Amino acid sequence: MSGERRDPGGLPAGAADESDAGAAPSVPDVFDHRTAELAPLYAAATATLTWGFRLAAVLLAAGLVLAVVRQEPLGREAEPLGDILPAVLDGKAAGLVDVAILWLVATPVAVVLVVAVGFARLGDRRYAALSLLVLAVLGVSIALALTR
Amino acid sequence: MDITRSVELGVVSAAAAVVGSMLGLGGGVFLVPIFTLFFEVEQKVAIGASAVAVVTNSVVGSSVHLRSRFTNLRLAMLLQTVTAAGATVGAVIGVYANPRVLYAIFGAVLVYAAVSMAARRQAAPTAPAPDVRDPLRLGAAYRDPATGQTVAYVPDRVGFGLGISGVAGALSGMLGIGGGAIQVPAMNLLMRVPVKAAAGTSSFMVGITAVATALVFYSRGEIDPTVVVPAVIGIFAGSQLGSRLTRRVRTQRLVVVFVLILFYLGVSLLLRAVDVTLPGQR
Repeated sequence: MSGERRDPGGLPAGAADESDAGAAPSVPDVFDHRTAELAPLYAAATATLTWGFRLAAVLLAAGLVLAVVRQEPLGREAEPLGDILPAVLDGKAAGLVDVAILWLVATPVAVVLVVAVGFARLGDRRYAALSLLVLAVLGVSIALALTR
Repeated sequence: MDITRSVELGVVSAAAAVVGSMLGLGGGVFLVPIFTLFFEVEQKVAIGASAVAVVTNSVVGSSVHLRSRFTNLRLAMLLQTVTAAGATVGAVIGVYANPRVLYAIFGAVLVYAAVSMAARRQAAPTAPAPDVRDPLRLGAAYRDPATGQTVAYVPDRVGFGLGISGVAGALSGMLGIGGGAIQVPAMNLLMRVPVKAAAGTSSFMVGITAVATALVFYSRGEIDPTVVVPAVIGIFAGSQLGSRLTRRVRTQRLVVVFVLILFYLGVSLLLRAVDVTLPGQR
């Protein structure tokens, strides 16, 4: 088991024996390696959050500028999804602001999907399945939002 | 759009985020009490706005934790299954619940948060034993920039963590808060997750949890852009300022003041639950 780092459960024998570093990695090394394996996931999740936020910020800024320029009031209630697209196509500020809010809320959902795909690509079926389970649970609130 | 009111809501949201980031709470816990007690925002609308603000805070803040590898993605996804379910159930209860009941629960949560902040216990990180078992592969490591050392850990008592995550999710769903005030101490003190990893993992999770709340409240028409937009902008600006101030300012004495504010808001909500309004409140 010397040098074995992909541990299914317990750590490699003698993992913490730093006096015999050539024979087995130390405990921090094993976990460090395990975290390093997830680097593509960390990068993908960070990129999704960053771009999700940037796009939401642009949409929100555009909506607010439009509202100020046209003296258009924002709605006191975010519209149902079916009404938002026509409002955006009509160039209404309130429509853009509603899209920005929903885009922001959708960003963490996209991250969970990205993480699920990432775990699946790494062959970690357990955590891919758990991530999909999180998505399924969120699916209940998504369904409520869609059927409003 | 009433510009004055929007600016006021934005400014208090920013102040809440500054205080929240100094306490490590994120700011969401302050929004609903302040909006409802001082600005006459309808309670359910305030909860919906707070949930969207929590999502914003998490989307921005968790990127930093992900880059530092403080976030334990496996632990987050495992706990999130229960947290998201709790949040969905909590939000459905919250959207229909009597406002007095929600005031009472929120008040109790704030008083608990104030007391636990005052105690501010923290488990020292302990290195995993050489023969540690980690069947769920939850063990992880990160480099602590403060010491330059690699910190390795294996979360303990995962079943307990799942139970507390369910409770945190339900409260989060009901009240529109992130739930970090419950989850970070639980991860740190009960599961022996180092505090930076607990904070990073919680910061990632609260955004996903608050999605469930925001969508359930949206489905009931309780997302009011005239409240959400100032809250989101204020929370974003305030958390940026708060994290900079926390690094530069000695916050220990300020924390005492902030804990007293938290306690005052908690007691105010408990009193509001029995129709008592303190002077200066609406």
